[in-house]
Amino acid sequence: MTRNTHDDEWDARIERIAESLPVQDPPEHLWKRIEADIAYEKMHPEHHAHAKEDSALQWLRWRLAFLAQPRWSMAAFSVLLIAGLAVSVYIVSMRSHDTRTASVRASSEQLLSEARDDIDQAMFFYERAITKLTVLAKQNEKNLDPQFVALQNEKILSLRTAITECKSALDENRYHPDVQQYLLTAYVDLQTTLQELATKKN
Amino acid sequence: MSMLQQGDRTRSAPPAIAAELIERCRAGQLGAFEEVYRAYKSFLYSLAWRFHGNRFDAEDSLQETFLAVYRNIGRFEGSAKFSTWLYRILLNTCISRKRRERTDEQKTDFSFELSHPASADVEADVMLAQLLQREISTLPELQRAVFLLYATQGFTHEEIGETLRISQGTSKSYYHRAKETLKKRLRAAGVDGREG
Repeated sequence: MTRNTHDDEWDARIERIAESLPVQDPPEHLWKRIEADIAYEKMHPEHHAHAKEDSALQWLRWRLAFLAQPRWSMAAFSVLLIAGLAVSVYIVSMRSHDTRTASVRASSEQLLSEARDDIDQAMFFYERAITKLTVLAKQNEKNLDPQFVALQNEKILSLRTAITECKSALDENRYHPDVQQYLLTAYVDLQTTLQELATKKN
Repeated sequence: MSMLQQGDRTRSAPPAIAAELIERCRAGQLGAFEEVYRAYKSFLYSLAWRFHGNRFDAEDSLQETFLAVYRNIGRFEGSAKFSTWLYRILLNTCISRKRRERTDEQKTDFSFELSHPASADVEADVMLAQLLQREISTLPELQRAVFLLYATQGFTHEEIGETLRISQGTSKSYYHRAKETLKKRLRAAGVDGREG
């Protein structure tokens, strides 16, 4: 009987404390990240299609969970980077070749359209690399000087805001060369900052 | 008129979402998604934070959840409660994220004060809350989800069943097991169940 009463007290106390756990608000910049994701999805509906995973693929992803370990992520990222560079060099060389024969076989409109596709591809690869580096940077943050981390995070936040603004501007005029240049510069800055956070040792 | 309607529950339940707002989301209006985000962010973020035990994973889970909402809003069936659907996406995201990162070192940050101190012995309650929070984040995933929905979000077992697609009986059983595990671990940590 005493035992039961004690257990009831326990239950009541745990439930009361659990109920009193504080409600947390996410940081303000989180909506900016979500907004950027959604804007990206709007620009790349084909990416959305690829992102749909059926349950079998999800199961496979869980099986491959070891890839989430930092050393495997780094290795995968390196492979991706090298492969990306190789493909880029190939594409650029193909485009150079195409350019030489363009006057004969292709209209300038077609070349422009292909170039724009390449730019879209570049943005896609930057986004993908940044997502991966964000994970790695977060994992490494706890090993670094908090002041350094805070400064870098401020920089990251302002770069993400700049990227979101550029993307909004590109929604109005998708191929504005100046905005594209700002966006790519912001991507490069963000990528190098995250890479520094991910690889720096205290 | 506000697009958000107050739900039936007297407890701090998330607001119900008007059909018109869902339609605007379906139409891909970013402003509508932001309205939904503002309405639910505290509820979802708190749940994710308690689930993972750290704010980084909580932020990522919330981000993934809203991306999934954007992707799948077209498939949302009006017959289900929007909040139930939203919580289901969040918990699925949290669970699959946890599975991906299971091998990672557990990182927790639980320094906080209770939103409304439960008794005169505030310090003891805060200490117990921090310990409880830590132990919650190490429960098996489904037990953790059930415990959090029931004990911190005020869901009924029927609502939990609908959200997690399990039976009410399973929900009750998971909740009971979660509570027993927590009591055992708190006892092992030298905490007595009695007040004060």
